[in-house]
This record gives sequence, C-alpha cells and structure tokens, in this order.
Amino acid sequence: MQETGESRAEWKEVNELYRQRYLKRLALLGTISALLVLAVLYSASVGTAPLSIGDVFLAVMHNIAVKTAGIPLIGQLFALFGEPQSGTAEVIVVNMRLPRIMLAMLTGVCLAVSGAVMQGVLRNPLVSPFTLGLASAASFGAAITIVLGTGILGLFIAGGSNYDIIINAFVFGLLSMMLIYGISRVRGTSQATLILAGVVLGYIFQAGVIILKYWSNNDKLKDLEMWLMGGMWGASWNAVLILLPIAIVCIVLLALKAWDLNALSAGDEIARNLGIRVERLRLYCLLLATIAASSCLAFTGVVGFIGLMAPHICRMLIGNDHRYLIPCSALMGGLILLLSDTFARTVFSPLEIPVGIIMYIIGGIFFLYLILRGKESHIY
Amino acid sequence: MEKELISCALAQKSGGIIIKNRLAIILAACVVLTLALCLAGCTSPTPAPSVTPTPGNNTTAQGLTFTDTNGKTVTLPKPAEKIVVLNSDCAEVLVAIGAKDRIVGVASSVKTNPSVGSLFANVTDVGNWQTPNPEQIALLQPDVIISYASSPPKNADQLTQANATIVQLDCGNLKTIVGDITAMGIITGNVQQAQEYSQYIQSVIDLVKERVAPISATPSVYWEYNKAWSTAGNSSGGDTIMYMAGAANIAGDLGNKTNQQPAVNQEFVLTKNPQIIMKYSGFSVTNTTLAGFSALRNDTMARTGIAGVDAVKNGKVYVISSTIAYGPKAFIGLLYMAKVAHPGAFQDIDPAAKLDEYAGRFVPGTNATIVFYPTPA
Repeated sequence: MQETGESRAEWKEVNELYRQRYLKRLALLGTISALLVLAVLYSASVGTAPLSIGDVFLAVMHNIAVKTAGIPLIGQLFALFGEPQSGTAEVIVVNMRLPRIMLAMLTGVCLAVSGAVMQGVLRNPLVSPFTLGLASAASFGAAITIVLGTGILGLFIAGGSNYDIIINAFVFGLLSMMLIYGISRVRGTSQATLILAGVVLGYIFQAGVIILKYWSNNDKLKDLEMWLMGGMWGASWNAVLILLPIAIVCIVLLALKAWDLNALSAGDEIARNLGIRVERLRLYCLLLATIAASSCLAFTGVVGFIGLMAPHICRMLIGNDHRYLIPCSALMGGLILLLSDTFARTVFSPLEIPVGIIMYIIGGIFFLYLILRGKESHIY
Repeated sequence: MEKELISCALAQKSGGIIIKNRLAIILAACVVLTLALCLAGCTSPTPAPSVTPTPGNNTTAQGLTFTDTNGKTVTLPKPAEKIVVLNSDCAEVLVAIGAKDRIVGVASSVKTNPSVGSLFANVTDVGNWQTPNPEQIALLQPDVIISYASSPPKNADQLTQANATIVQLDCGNLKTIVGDITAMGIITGNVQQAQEYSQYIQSVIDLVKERVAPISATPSVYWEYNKAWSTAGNSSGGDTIMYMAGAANIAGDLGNKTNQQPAVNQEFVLTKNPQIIMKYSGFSVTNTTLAGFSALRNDTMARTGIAGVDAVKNGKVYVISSTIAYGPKAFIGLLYMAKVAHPGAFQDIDPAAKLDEYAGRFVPGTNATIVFYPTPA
C-alpha cells in the first residue's frame, strides 16, 4: 500500500516535471514565433525606398481592400484605412518586399527542417541538405541551363529562362536523392553508406559544375557564379504560391514522424525492437527533406549553413525531442534567413549582397563558437 | 526439407538481388534519360537572328515596334520618357542620340566606366547590373529598363512589378550595333539622331570593307582576352573585328556561342605562329594609363611560349582597350585592327583622330583615356 503511494508520488513528480518542460518548450516556441513576426514587420518597413511604417501598413491594407472590394463588410472594413501617401508604396511593399520576405522565410524553414530531419535519420550532427550531394546536383542542373541555354524542358521550350533554371535545379536535386536511393537498394541504408554516397555524388556533380564553368564565357560565368552564391532575386508571389504547399506538406509529413525519429535516435536496433521499419523511415524522411530543400534551392540558388545552424541552435535551446525540434528548427531557420536577407538587401543599398555570402560568414562564426565550446556543443 | 529451405532461401536471396538490380537499372535509366533530355535540348530552340528594324515605319496600332538584340519583337505604347540603363554601352548610345536627359537611373558599373561614367555622375545609382534594386527602380518609375541581351537581370520578375518594360540590347558587337542603335532611336523617339549616328558608324565599317576587299593577304592574329591564353573564339566581338579587318583569327575554328573565349595554350599559339598579337586591356576597364598598357604589352611579350612567334619578333604586339574592342566604339577598334593588319591600305587613316571626332560629335570625354598601344605606324 505504502509502495503504491510512493510510486504514485513519484509518478506525480515525473508528471509535473514533464508538464513544466512541456510548458517551457511551448513558451520557447511562442517566443521564437513572436520574434519571427517582429522580424517580418521590421523587414517590411526597411529597404531602399524610404517608406514610413504607416505607409507600409496602409499599402498592405489598401491592397487587401482592392482585392476584397466585392466582398461586403470585409472590403468596406479594409477600405476604411485609405491609401498610402507614397504612390509607389503599394507596389514596393506588396509586390517586392512581401514576396521576398515570404521566400526567405520559406527557404529558411525548409532548409532548417531538412537539416534537423537528416541529422536525426542519419544520427550525424554534421549532416545537412548539402551533405547528400543535393546542392551540388541542383547547382549542376542550374549550370546546364545557364551555360548550355537548355534544361529538362529544352525539347519543348526555349532554354535559359529563369523557370527553366528553377525546374532543372529541382529535377537534379531530386536526381541526387534517386541515385542515393538506388545505391541504398544495392548496399543497404546504413548511415555510413548514405553519407559516403552523398559526399561522392556531391563531388561528381561538382566536377560537372566546374567543367561547365570552364566552358562558359564571361557573361554566363557571372550568371552561374551569381546562382551559386544564392539570393532571393527570384522572389515573386508565383514562387511563394508554388513553394508554400510543398513546404507545408513536407513539413507536416515529417513532423508526423517525430516519434519514430526519437526512437531512431536511440539506435537502429532499439528502433527496430519498437516496431519501426528503420530502412523505410530513413528513405521516406530523406526523400521528403530533399523535396522540401531542393524546391527552395531551385528558386534561391545555394544558401548554405542554415540547415546546420538552425537545428544546432534549437538543440541547445529545446533538446533532441523531434516533436519540438522540428517546429523550433522551422521557426529558427525562417528567422535567421529572413534577418540575413534583410541585412543583405539593406546594408549597402542600393547594392545587394547575395544572402549566401552572409550565411557563410554567420555560419562559419557559429561553428567556430561551437568548436570552442568543445564537447558541450554536441557536434563531436 | 533442409535442402528445400536452403534452396528457397537462396531463391529468395537471388530474387532480392534481381529486384535490387532491376531497381538499380531503372534508376540508372532515369539518370541517363534526364541527362539525355538536357543534352537533346542543346540542339533545339535557338534565338532568331537579329533583324535590323527600319526607322520611320515602326508605329503599329499597339504602339512602337522594334527588334532587340536577341531577335525578339518588342512593342512600346509610346517613346520612353524615363529610362534606366544597366548596360554602359547602351548608355553611351543614348547619349550619342541625344537622349541623355531621359536617363533617370544607371547601374553602378555604368557610373564607374572610365569612358562614359563621368557623364552620369548626377544620375541615380540603381545598384548591380545583374541584380538592380527593384525598390530604387520603382521609385524612379521608368518606362523602360535597358539590360544586356547576353545577360538579362536575375530579378526580372521583381523589376516588371514597377510597370517598366525590360528591353534587352547589347549595343556591343559590330554585327548587331546598327540594328541596336536603330532600336534605341525607336525607344526614345529620336529616330533621326539614331539614323545619323548609325550611319556614321556604318560609314567606317563600309570604308574598311571597301579597302580590305581587294587585298588577298590575311595576316594571322592571336587575340587574347584579359585571362592568359583565353582567346577570341568564333563569333566573339574580337573575331568579328578581325574578320571585318581582313585578318585571320588563329582561333576562328574554336569556340561557340556558349564559349566565345576558349582557352588555348602556348603550343597552340607557337604552332599557329601569328603575325599580330592583340592583347585586351581587361574587362574591368581599370587599366587606362600609358604605363599600364606598356607593362601589359611587356608582360605578354616576355611570356614563355610566346616569345618565339613572328608577332613578338617583329614587335607587332598591341594592347587594345575593351572600350574600343566591344561596344559602340568597336568601329575604332576595327580601324586600329585594319591599320595594323594592312598598314599600306590605311596609311591615311588615323583612328585616334577619328575617336576625337566621335567624342566631339557624339559622346564627349570618350577620347580621354588611352585606347591602343603602341600607336601603329
């Protein structure tokens, strides 16, 4: 009787501890979400055009009012706000800044979640969407279109257009995953096989990019270098409308596998004993992570480090539980990339720096910090 | 029983291997197919050849119609009142046809161009020519944005939000320059001035053609761009100048539209033994002093593998500025090339004086820096 009472008290204590940790984690996710909202507001209000915060707000409201003019009440409600003072405010805020903010956030979200999931399934903290050769393959796809002026659609439409580059980069990004899948079918899905295969494929595609660089002339070389540096120049509502459903579907499906990923982090054997089909889970997660990452990279070019940095910061803040790690990485990735891109487009205005360069600098410094922290950092 | 189990297990295993192999084959086929599709596309759609528009007959029901450098037909509702230029060669053409006051914004590279940059000191900077700042352009509210045809802006989707038409013109190669100037005349409505300007350039091209036609000798030329051993391939700007000037490009068989500056090596140049060497002063156009040109020439002549060729032995190694090797002043580069290749036929022609005349008549200041070294006899 006494024993039962003791175990109940222990259970209650454990339950209370769990509840506290749960609330703490929710509070952390709430804080990062609030920071992200603030970052969006800040990013929408700064730029080359000197627009007041009031004008930025009125530009958005007026645009919604015009779009909802036919809907009673809602249209009238938004129409109450009036027009911004600056005649160009609406075009600048709604058609230029907002799609760019959305693209930066979506890219950050997708790359960070891909990184967190890949690190989980391969149980290696230094794995990122790029370790499996994704970036090199997408770069090779883009390079084919830029240099040779043709893409996967070359048979049907004139090559060299931005959309041709996007489609080619996406297809080649997926191709890298298909190749890794093929190798894993023959040699199994052990972490070492997948990582080695990814690294080797990365080098092969990199060789292709170098050959194309060597062949290309001055103008094409500049175009290619620009793509390889990564930037949000492809931002438009069309890009956002394409990416948004892909990102939502991939991230929700990955988040649903959070329990399985938690089990997998204890080791393949334990996960198997818990009834998880490890090989299948690994390929399923890698495929979804690749689709999410390569669809973003196709629009932005190579944006490095975010898939490594965001999950590591979140691991330090929220722990290794994938139920929290995945949403936390998503928010953190969106926040970091949005702030970096805002810095990139405003610091030397009207000149812009490719955001990929900023990410390499921030990412490099962050990893130096982790190395200096030693074993606490959990990277080795 | 045991045998059956073993054979069954073996069969399953071999079946598994077969399935795995099949999958591998299917995947390999997918990879090959993807690459094949891409490469097949290489031979498909090519841009239509540039057509020279006829001035004075370009007004349609929709507005003004002209052809860009890529051969694409562009229609504007009316002559452009405000223009943003990302290409310094096109900026120079606009000045030459009297439309400088229409330019409301230029790329940073136009402002730093030593040949024409000083003309745009007070014009708004719109940033990098590859990724111009869309907000700055929206504030300027231009009717037209003129970009390079060979390298259009990466953020074209954002730029079109500013309700401006992006026009792709190079104003660079001698083959297409007259058509590009005519298009500029239509864009600005300064058709008469554009015609006068293009006729001036065409007259020089015709003069060279006329004098070169009866000459059968075609001296061989090695044209080197700013990177060592990177030469002028087929259909490049340098190749066009050499061809028009009655000279033989030793790398005329090399290169293509994708790679107009193929890399060769010492052995290739030694074997071809060119009679003339033309060395580009650099893409960045920062090398604008006599000392700089002289040092570049000496470096080129002292290079291993080039010292033994006829051009070096006879002192026929020249440094040519990129401002006259490509762009609207390429006709000056043509005159220099023709004079070097056929000194007898062009004895009375002074390209430097022609450049002074051009600067006085069309674009002031373009004769301020050195463009060719040493001066041909």
